[in-house]
Amino acid sequence: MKIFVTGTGIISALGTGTEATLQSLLSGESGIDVIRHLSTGHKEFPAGEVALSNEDIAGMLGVGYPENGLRTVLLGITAAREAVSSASLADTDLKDAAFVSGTTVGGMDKTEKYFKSAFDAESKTEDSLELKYNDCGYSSAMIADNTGCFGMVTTTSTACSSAANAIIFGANLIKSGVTDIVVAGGAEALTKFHLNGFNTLMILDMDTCRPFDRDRAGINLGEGAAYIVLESEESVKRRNVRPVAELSGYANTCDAFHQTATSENGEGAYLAMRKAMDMARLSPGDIDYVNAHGTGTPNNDASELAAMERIWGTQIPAFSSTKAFTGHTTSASGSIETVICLLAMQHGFIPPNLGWRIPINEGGIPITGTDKRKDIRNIINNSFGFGGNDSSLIFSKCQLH
Amino acid sequence: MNKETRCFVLSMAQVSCQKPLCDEWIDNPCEYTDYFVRAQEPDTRSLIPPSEARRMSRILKRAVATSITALNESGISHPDAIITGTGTGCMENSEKFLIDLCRYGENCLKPTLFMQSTHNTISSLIAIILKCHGYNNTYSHMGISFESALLDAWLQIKNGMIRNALTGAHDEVTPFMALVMERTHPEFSFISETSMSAMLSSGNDYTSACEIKDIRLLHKPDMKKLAALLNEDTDPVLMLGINGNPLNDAPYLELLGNLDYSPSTEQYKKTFGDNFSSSAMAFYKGVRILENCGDDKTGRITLINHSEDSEWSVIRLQRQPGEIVKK
Repeated sequence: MKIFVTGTGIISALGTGTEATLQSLLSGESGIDVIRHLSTGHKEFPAGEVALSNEDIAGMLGVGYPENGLRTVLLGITAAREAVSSASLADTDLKDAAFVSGTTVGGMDKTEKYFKSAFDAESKTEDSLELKYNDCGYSSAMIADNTGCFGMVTTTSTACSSAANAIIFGANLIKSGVTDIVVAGGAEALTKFHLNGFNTLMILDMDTCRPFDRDRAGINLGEGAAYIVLESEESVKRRNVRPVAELSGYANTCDAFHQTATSENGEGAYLAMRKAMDMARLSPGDIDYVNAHGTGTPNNDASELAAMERIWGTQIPAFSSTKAFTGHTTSASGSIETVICLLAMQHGFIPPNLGWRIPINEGGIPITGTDKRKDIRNIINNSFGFGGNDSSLIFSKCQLH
Repeated sequence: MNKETRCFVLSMAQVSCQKPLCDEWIDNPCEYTDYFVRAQEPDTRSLIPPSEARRMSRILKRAVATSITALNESGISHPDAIITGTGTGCMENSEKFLIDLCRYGENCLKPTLFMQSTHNTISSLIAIILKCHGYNNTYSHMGISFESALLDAWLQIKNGMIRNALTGAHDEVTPFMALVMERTHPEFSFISETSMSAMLSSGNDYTSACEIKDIRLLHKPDMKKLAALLNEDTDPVLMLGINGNPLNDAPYLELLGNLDYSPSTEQYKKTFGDNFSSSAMAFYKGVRILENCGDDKTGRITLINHSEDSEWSVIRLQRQPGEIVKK
């Protein structure tokens, strides 16, 4: 059974909306800058923050309490509403549709604000009520309810592969006939919790990140949200909509090596890409572009490159990491980079791997200038999370009916 | 979907406020009057090397203990998939990290707490221990996190994408979070902790008594539509998340009032308490009831759960006469 993408929505450091994202990608302008919104002492680390403040977004969306104090939710609603409207979904289309969202920090920004007073008072103050929104599920339910009346809502939470796994589960819901339409993706705001967490692992770069560069020194975190509308062939025909692309293959595997490090030979990543190609019935030579996970840490990029070399040898297709554009948007990265891949396919360009200078080895040379290719047929999008949670999605150009 | 492929429950194990890794709760349940009851910790010496166990938080130890126990009983050492539900994940480590952040600021934090604070730490740890490279996913969606994980496993088994899956639900509650939940979840009766692991299989290699016939997740369903779904089949016993607290029970009573018939009902929260994974204990109890209902009978139980009257789930379990009980 074929599964199509019929709509996209996105917000990130590259701007608000699919069109703004396209313009930023084509101009080669990174969204990474000094931290402005997040309350942290670690201003030495640049990040891909969404330029708008919570007040700006809440005003734009017309939402009040508690949504206006939950950045993940605000980013999520912005992207989900765009996805639904770009797929021309009416309210009646949503009542049997599913909303599947990936997030890990959920409402942690609110928790950070109220935890100390609630903890010191042993929960005897009203502040402790705000901790309720910490749960990932509430974020998804609030995003869903501010987007439409969905028939089913759930949340995947697998750290940096969360959004990719939401898309995989969404595709399985359609393949199984549970529903015809799924809005899937992820949302994640930058928080003090994970900025500091990544800092304890000593994998944040004080300079702009340089994925796949020999001298890369770590991650710049980012934030944002993106959703895509997945739809069965039957539903696409019934609604007479034009698909953006086909989700032709996907796989999730586990590196099963370490909670925060990846294996030297990239076993999990290798298996994910292989299995996704098997499902899509594509051979390695059919892949025109790999949007790599490419976080910019020494460990991830070496391991991912090793996995690519196991599949393609010295003939690795055009590849790049777009994290030097957006920062590492953690749980949202799978869907944010999916939208970037779909733009690349539709507009015939390969987004450059900004910041790259020196190759890791002879084969590992990513695309750096905006590479104009007329025909990008098949794209692999990689998302890898803590615990060696590795997901690959393949998007293919579809024949218009 | 391949209608021929069935999905069976091969084995299960639980850690809760009842005696762990056994079924003593059936004949001899512990009774509680406290508002917050922690899980009884399992003896993990034969399941986890002590040097490793020392480095694990409570939820991780419990999850590994129930997973290994369920795996051992199923005869499958290497599951095709590991799928977990958890409402709040590794709460103890997250809380410690937050406390350190409040006390010591942003400069003296411990990497281990962060590394073991994400929701999927549980599923990943099990994969690392078992060296399982297969599908690995984690759902965190309020009180239907378990059902989300179960739906994922069930669909993939029915589709032939996997043959079996280790599926579980795990939630721990710290003393501080219990105080918070007393305010944020006034619908709970007594707050508890749950770890439950189950091996599901297509039954090609093994047989078991209990089959999962259907799973539905519903977001803010219309009560009449939900009742109509249950009216389709008036035979099964309904397992409800009734806990004696009107804030929690009212939606169940409204649903019962909308049914065309008076079903026999079962409940589980008096024995196992309330937390985001407590619906996994409804599943556990439901499967045990069917396993023990007698070889000559068709047993059917429908599990119904709601989380704050927002997320609902319906799971249909069935046992057919003559199906072999493994063991």
